[in-house]
Amino acid sequence: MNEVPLTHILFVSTALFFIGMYGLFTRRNLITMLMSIELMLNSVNINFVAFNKYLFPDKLDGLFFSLFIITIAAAEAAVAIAIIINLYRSHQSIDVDDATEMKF
Amino acid sequence: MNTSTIIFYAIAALILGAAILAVTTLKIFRSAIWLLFSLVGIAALYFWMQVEFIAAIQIVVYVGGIVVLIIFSIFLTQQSGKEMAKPATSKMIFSALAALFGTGFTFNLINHYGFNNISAAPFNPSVDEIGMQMLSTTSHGFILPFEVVSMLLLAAMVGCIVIAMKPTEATIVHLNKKED
Amino acid sequence: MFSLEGITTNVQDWLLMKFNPTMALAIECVIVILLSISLFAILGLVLVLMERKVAAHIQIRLGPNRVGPGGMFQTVADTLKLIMKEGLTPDKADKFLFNLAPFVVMMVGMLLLAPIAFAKNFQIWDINIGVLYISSVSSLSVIGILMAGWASNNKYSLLGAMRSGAQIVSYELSAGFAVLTIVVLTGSLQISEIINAQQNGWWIFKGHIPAVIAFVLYIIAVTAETNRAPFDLAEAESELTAGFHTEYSGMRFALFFLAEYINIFIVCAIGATLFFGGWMPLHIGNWEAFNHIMDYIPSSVWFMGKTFFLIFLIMWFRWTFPRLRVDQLLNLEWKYLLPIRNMFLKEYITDVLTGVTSLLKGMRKTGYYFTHSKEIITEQYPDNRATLLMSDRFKGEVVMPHDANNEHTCTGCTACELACPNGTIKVVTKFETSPEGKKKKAIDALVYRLELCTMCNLCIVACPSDAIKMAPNFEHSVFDRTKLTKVLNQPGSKIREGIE
Repeated sequence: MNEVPLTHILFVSTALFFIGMYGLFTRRNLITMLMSIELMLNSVNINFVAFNKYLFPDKLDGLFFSLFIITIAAAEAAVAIAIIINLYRSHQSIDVDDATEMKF
Repeated sequence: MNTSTIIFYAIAALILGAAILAVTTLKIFRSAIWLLFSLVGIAALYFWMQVEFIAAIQIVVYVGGIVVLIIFSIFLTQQSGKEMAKPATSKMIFSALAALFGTGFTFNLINHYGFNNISAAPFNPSVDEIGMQMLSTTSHGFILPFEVVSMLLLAAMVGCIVIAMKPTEATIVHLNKKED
Repeated sequence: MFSLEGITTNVQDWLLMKFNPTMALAIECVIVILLSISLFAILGLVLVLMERKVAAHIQIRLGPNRVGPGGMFQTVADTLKLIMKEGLTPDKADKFLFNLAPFVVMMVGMLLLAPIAFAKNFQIWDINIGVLYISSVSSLSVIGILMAGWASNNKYSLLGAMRSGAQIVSYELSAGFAVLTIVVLTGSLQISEIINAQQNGWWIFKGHIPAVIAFVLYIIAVTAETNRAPFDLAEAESELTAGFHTEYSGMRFALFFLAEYINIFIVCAIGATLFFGGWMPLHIGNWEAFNHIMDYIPSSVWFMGKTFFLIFLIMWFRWTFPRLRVDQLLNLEWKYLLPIRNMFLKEYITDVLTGVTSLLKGMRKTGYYFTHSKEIITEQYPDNRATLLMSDRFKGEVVMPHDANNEHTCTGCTACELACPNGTIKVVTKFETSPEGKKKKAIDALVYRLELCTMCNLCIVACPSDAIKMAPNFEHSVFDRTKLTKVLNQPGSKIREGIE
């Protein structure tokens, strides 16, 4: 068994999650915001796999959860990009600050 | 410090460094490439954890699928050589502070909890084990979520096509009639 | 009997005996890196030469034949030239990504090398998801191409990259399904197990119709994935200059070029592993004696032989079929390769059958030329100058024949000068007195300006005494333009007796 403690893997995934959050807060471009969300989803995946490996090596549930998250992330990215392309067609821009018609 | 630990810290540095560059660079295509490196780093982390199947899936779906999709949408909506506007300094500072606070808070939590009940059993699932359990109908089987996810993918596919399809003359006329 | 079998174990035992495990691992890494880099270099040299030779023979030519015996060192010379060249980076390009892109493409090639079994027990990394690893990592190569296309800041590059992306992403599905067929037959993803399962016959023979269909699908899909003709839309010269590598020059271009051939080698090696048993010799059922004889051929020879056979097949495609249009390309994938259209099953089957027969017809024709090298019509030009036969109808320049007494038949009538449409010929006449005291018109010089001549043959037709004619001479190049203005009558020549 390797000597890296579980907490260090969790530190990596936490840092990754908050980097993604920072990106989501500062970016105003829809594509880059989508990228930040992908980073956050990936940090969750790391957690699932790490917990499964270190705490419950006789089960596989963590792996399945990360598999399903990857699948759903793919579907989500596809839909998001379809929306972005459509927004670009109507507004000639994919900046969130430019699409404000529905803003109350 | 043996080879395995050194490799882990190298991978972790790659993941976090590429991720920071991905969210801070002002050139959008470079941002996508840094995201790609970060995702490849995560796949490498899975290889390091000896879950090769998840690592391969990670590369197929994220790198071969999602990043290529993102790059395509960049090609379709952006101009080569342009830079994005710099975010406002106040916003950057507050976001960085919020992120740092969140990181510190969670680090603290993890450190205090400690995770002492680590099992020493080896974890090396084979692909057929994963496949058998994924499609089994017994107590730990995942057949229902598997089927539900397939429905979700179908719905997402149909939805994407409907959203991104250019409206034809006929539908525009039809919609105008409805509004009248 | 030379074979690579077991060398790896010996090396590892020796290293573990001499060093501690970490050091041994590092040394093994260095050995693997050196081996794979040298393999890449050798493969690049061999495959480029092979491609040019195959192309030449299919087109009834000889191909490169100057540098070294039979042109063997042509690619070495090319490589030297590319190294010497300046690597240009376009202004306003994203310099970092522009320089990174060729290396990404190369790195993907290197990663793909890991699970390939070159011989019995000679494999870098026998990973337990072998085939899945290959299909996942090969999807990375598209990133390098997209990067090159975007960073060049050039519309042709961008369009080429987008086409290439769409093509690779869609053809990956077919290749994946073809690979899955073999995975289902074997019941494992591991390369070594797939090879071991073919001990009593290769899958292409054992797997009946599904394996054959999967093999055809696989070959078509990987041809598209490696951006080879007839699917080389990403670099279609007639439309996009050179596609995604328009802006690359020198060594970076060479890396792209090399990566293309490395990718071909890798997909063919995987095809050979999946369908032809990798290093497994040809075994037939219970023919013990036959199987035993086959075992004497080293496994590395079997592997390389099968791989190069598949590479030859893909090169054969390239020089037989014309390039597809973009819509045809995507139609082929999404309407023919991927689904069997249940609703129009009869139509689908007839379409596929007519398509396959017409493709086979074309390949039979080019294959005939490839195997009949006696029909090659290339002239060994400067070497065979003495024996070179030119046909009489070839018109190279106007000459005036002189006989043994230095006499010609030109009377200086200026009919040729009058007939010439653009003043190529100028007749300078003089009057000379005959012994009888009679004055007679004769030519002083017939000036012929080759740079103006259109070889229209009007002067020859106009000449009443057949004094000039067309010669089949074509070596006209000179450094000084004035040398193209010639005087056709030789100095001191006279008009032949009896010509008026």
